[in-house]
Amino acid sequence: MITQGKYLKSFSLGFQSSLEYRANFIISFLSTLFPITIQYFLWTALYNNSPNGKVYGYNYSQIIAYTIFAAIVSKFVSGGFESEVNEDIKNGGLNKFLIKPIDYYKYRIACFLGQKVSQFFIMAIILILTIAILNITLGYSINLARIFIFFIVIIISIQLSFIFVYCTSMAAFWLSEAGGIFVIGGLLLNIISGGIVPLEVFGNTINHIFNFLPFKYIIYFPINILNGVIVGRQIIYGVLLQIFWIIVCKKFADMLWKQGLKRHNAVGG
Amino acid sequence: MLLEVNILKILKTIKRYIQIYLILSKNSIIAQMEYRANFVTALLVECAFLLAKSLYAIVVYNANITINGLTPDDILLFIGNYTILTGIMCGIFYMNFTNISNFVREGTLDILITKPVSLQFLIAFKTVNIGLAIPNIIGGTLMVIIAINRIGMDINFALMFWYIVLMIVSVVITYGILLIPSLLSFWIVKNQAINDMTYALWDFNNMPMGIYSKWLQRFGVFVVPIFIISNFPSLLLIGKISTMFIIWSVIVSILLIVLSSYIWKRALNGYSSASS
Repeated sequence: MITQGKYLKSFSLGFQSSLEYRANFIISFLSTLFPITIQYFLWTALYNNSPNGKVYGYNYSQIIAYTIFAAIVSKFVSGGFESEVNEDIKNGGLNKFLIKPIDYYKYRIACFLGQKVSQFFIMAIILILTIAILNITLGYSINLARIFIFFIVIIISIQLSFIFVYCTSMAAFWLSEAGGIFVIGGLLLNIISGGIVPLEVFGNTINHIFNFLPFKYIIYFPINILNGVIVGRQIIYGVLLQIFWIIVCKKFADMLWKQGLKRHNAVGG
Repeated sequence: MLLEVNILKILKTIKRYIQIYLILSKNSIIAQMEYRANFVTALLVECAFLLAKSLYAIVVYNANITINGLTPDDILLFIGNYTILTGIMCGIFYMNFTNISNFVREGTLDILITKPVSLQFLIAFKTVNIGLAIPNIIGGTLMVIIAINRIGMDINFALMFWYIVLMIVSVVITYGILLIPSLLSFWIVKNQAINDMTYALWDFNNMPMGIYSKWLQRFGVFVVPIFIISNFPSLLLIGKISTMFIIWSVIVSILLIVLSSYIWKRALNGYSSASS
């Protein structure tokens, strides 16, 4: 799909714009330092008072790694194009796509993935530095195979994440003021995909439900591959489920798009 | 005789300012109600943030570990008080303080200077945002009540009295600690980064100061007294506060009021209007 010229162009446009804003992306990592510090103290206090040195099935170095990786991966998979879609729908920018032989979904995802290329390398550098530091300070185990699989899985995760953000942004068809919904959607998606604390925190019952839902495959799944919590066959099952959910959610997104277009009245066109 | 007249005068001024404040709040509530859908979304957004804030409580409860002498119920009490004070901070101060740099940059301050009330009062208390306040205050109060019940605390009049005193002290310290950085906009005009830092520091109270290292605790109580807010009222309720701490918190609140008004005066002296 992306090999078609027009989408390749969107892809490269996305890539160029992300190069322009690379400093912004790096600074946005800095903003996660405060929450990481708070969580670092929280987990440290918990482990210092834990009788067996394990909390929620993780050992200390794993949980600290989870906290930092979650912050980094959350930034990487986050959308950021909701307001652009909102603008397109509200101010008639969508019209230029409707009258041309361009599929809006394909255009958006090409643009999004293009943006993520440079962010991918920034993320990779920060991640590898973090792993090295954790290895020296806390004895965090390094396994090259896991790191390699992580980088492959994260590429699938980001497409799943894209579809959710895309579906959320469709809210602009129905709501006159959708900004709040984007904030809520982004925050909730982050929490239930394990972007703040590992999902084990929510207890067994809720985790059984999470197993049937697509969200954990965005952040929790890739991080725990890196962490060595998810191993062997579980990785293959996980990847298959990721692909399954991408197909199902894409169908759902198409449905939303169709319904939304019926309501669309092409202002400013 | 002279003293009596003075006291009467002060009381009269206080009454006048309370009246003005009520009018200002009424106006901002009316303004918010005009855009009702916006107001409802703001409520929902705040509820989502409330959920994010209580995540740490979930972590502590499901792990069921007593941290440095604090049980999960104790920690819920801290988070509850933090949430109530966040509601008050967002509702009363946040909008006004972050607006100061706009006032300075755009020269809107000129028109406010001409009003016949204290300029510092007008700037600091001009708008009230109940959309941000309501979910936090209700959520926080519920957390505190649940925690108190689960701990099985017996609440007496004296304890309640001191709790309210420390909560007021916390609000006063919040005022001082958040106002001073936003006054820097008089000198550096665009201070988004400083504001972001200040409100990021605020989140440190999401967890009891007992989880931080000793040095960080001392820093947060004695150097940048952010930990006094919400920690001291909670420590009082679980009976772990020293008299020295109570006295210190009152001293800090007075010092901050004096310091913020001093900086305010300095800032205003250097103000050169932007538009005229």
